[in-house]
Amino acid sequence: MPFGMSSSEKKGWFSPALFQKNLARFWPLVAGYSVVQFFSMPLEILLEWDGRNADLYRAIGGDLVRSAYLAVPVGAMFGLMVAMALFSYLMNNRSAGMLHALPIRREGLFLTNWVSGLSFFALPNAVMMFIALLAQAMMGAFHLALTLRWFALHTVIAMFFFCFAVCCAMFTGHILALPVFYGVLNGLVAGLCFLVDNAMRVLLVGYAGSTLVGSALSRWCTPIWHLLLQVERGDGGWFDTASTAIALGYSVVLGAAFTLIAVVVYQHRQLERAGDVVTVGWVRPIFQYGVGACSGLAFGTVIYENFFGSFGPWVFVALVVACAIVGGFVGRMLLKKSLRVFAEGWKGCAGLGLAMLFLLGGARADLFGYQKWVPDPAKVQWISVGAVSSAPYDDGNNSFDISIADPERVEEIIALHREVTEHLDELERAEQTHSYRMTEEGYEVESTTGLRLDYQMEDGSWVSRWYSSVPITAQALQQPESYAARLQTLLNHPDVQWKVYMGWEEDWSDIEVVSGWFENGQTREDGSGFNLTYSQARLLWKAVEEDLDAGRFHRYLLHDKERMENCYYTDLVFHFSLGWNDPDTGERHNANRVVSITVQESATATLQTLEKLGLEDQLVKREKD
Amino acid sequence: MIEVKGVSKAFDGFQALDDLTLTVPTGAIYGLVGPNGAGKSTILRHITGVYQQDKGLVLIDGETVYENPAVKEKIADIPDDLYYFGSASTRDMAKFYRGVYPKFDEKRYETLREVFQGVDEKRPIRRLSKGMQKQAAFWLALCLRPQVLVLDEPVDGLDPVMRRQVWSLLMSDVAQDGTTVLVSSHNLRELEDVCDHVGILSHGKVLVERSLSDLQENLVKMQVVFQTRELPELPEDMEVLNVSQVGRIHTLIVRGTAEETTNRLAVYQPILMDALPLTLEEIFIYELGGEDYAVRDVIL
Repeated sequence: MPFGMSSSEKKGWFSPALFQKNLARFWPLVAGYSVVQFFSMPLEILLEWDGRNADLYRAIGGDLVRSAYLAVPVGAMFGLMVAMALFSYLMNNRSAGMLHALPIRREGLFLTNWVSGLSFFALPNAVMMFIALLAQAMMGAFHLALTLRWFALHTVIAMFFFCFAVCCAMFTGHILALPVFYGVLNGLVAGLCFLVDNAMRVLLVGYAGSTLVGSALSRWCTPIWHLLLQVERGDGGWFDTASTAIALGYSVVLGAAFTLIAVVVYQHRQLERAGDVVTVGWVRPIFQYGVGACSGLAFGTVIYENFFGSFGPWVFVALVVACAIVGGFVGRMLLKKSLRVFAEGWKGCAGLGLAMLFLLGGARADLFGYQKWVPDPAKVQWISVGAVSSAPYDDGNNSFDISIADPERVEEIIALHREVTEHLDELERAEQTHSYRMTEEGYEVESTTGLRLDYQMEDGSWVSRWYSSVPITAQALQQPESYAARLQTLLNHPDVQWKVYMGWEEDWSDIEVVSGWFENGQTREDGSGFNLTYSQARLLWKAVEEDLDAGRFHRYLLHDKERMENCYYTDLVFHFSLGWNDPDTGERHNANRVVSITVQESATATLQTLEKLGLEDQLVKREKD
Repeated sequence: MIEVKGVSKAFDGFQALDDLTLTVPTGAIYGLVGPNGAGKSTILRHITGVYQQDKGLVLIDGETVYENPAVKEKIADIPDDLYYFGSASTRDMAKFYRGVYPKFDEKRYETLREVFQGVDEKRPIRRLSKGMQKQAAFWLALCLRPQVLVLDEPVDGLDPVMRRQVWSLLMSDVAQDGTTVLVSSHNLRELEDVCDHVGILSHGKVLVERSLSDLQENLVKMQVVFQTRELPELPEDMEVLNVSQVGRIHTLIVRGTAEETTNRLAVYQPILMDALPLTLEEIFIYELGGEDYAVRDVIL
């Protein structure tokens, strides 16, 4: 109640009579909540009395931690139900008229009902906590902190969901619309992120996906998800104090914000809007076109994915636009409570359709320059190149995910990227047919590879591109300016090869070969290989180092004649011990690493060493695949 | 005193109240009449502080009503569509009102039990018949000891005896406590008996607002038999609202006093001339006739 008011001004800010009436009218809700809460915690503790658990203290602690997980689903459900009950009077003209004719201010009505709602959760939970503490004391296994945590989580989270539902109630005048609004708004941000992300995947060649769906922003804007994550985060069945504090803080701050919004909206609420789906004037167009846009994205995607997936992005655009227009009309029907909305609503819905067409069609036609974008080399700090599939299948293929900061290489990669953007049609065709390969006389002449480019820009931002099917042809590999040739050249730079095989080198020191394996089969377990002696392993590693430095180990994007003739089946597997400095703590650790390298004809130093060691007879030549 | 000054209210583009102004003197019984959709219930909801006007002022004893609990404590209202809490009985509602209205008169509640003895006070109000619900509403409203009583179609559903009973109680409150009663009804015959002031609403505006006697004095029904069978040409400045003829008898509804109109028609040396007072219903019909709202001769 505001201070410094005269007695007449103080009237109507809270009504004890209405509060009592609420308790008397809605006791079944309180009783229902109490029963659920009793089953979720005190009963579990009371059942421990039978002595089935030897460690009663730990068992009760576990009960308390587990039952805290229920705070979110139970709170979300009862928060909505209590809000629906207490504020249902706003959804009906007669009840709204009766309550608002009373000598109670709107703020007073709100505050009384709000406090009633909070007490519906606080009182039963306090009783449950008391029962639990009493039982624990009698059993000699007292968990005050955990019990208080249980009380705080269940009470505050239920109150939060109540405040959220109350806020939703202020924007609608229809009792059935309230749970729909509440449910949709609980997952709106994550849902929208998902839908937009999905649409961009369909429309844009090279779209790397966004991290929005799983981002902190999306999580924080999706209360039910965020709270579930926080409450369930624990360590070995025991709760995590920090995440509990985050859950409570989030609930209190956001709950207060929702309450504040609700009060302001209630102050200006037009009671004659009771029965309307949306009561606030400026929200009505947002609702109508929001329903349209979301329907367009959701239903357009569902129809496209299930029926027209092979028809291409423009059909997707058409479906989304059509569904958005229909959704816009549905939104208007809900607002007007009439099916006859075409005559008055067609302009707005057509506008929505045009807006969607501009956005999605514009994205598809690359009006915003996404697909053709390549960075200015001067603004790139480093690039991560990944997902490239190349032969031979040693550790140079499996770990092809490297970061490159060398300006010369950065320019090469950007030139490669630019060349890729010149062939988006080919890439899109390849994506639609998925990965494929063609051979001539047993040698591969056409295939695809993935390519992921992540740019760390000088301004700290990240830009990513992901091409899932980049066509590689033997013909293109012969043309030095083609992206295929550029990519193969990049893979074969000695410094790149070093990074590929020994990508962890930046963190280690005192590396030492401790053993080696001569492998002729697909796995080491099939008995087709043998151990190298310590000295053999050391000598061979020295030779491999020399060949890597000289660029004599090659990587291939196609299984062509050169790859088949140059590569052996044989792999050399080296075990290293090394010292490793933790970049975060600076502490030094010892570690082991294993690297396998396929022997190649071009790796002359390695072959000479193998010959010197008398192992050349053990090498297995590769036949055509 | 209730003062409504230039109040406008629009619903989704529909102008329900259009710069409406009316004044209800303290201690008056003011009848608010008007065709369906004229805005009667809407203005009553403004006067009880339920709706907020887009424009204008609604004052009771000089204070605004909207969001003013001190003023709303003085008001009791009985809307056309009654609402009480789900399973609340008359007794439950009395208990609730006792906590909300400081002037709730417990003794009166007991006294009125005899008047409304047909109402089962322990039974949920919504389970009572429509007439009984209305009786319960009057019972509760009268216990609030209101200075202003706002009634929307109040006796609709009540039997004739109970109607008389209710009006009698209301008039007694007006006489003893100076209660101001604002009543909206289509039962003009009944309003004529109880109201001392009348306001006629049309299209969200007050067309006429006067004491009933002024209203009746300002319109006169003249039954005249002229020398000729046809109606002679009447003076241009004589405001004749309606003319009808049965045989040789002409019935004229003329704006003006009976004396003045009789004198002006006397110059035609009528064979027979009689000035009759109009009922409220006739006043309503002829006033609204100028508003293009009249009984139409439609042949089905």
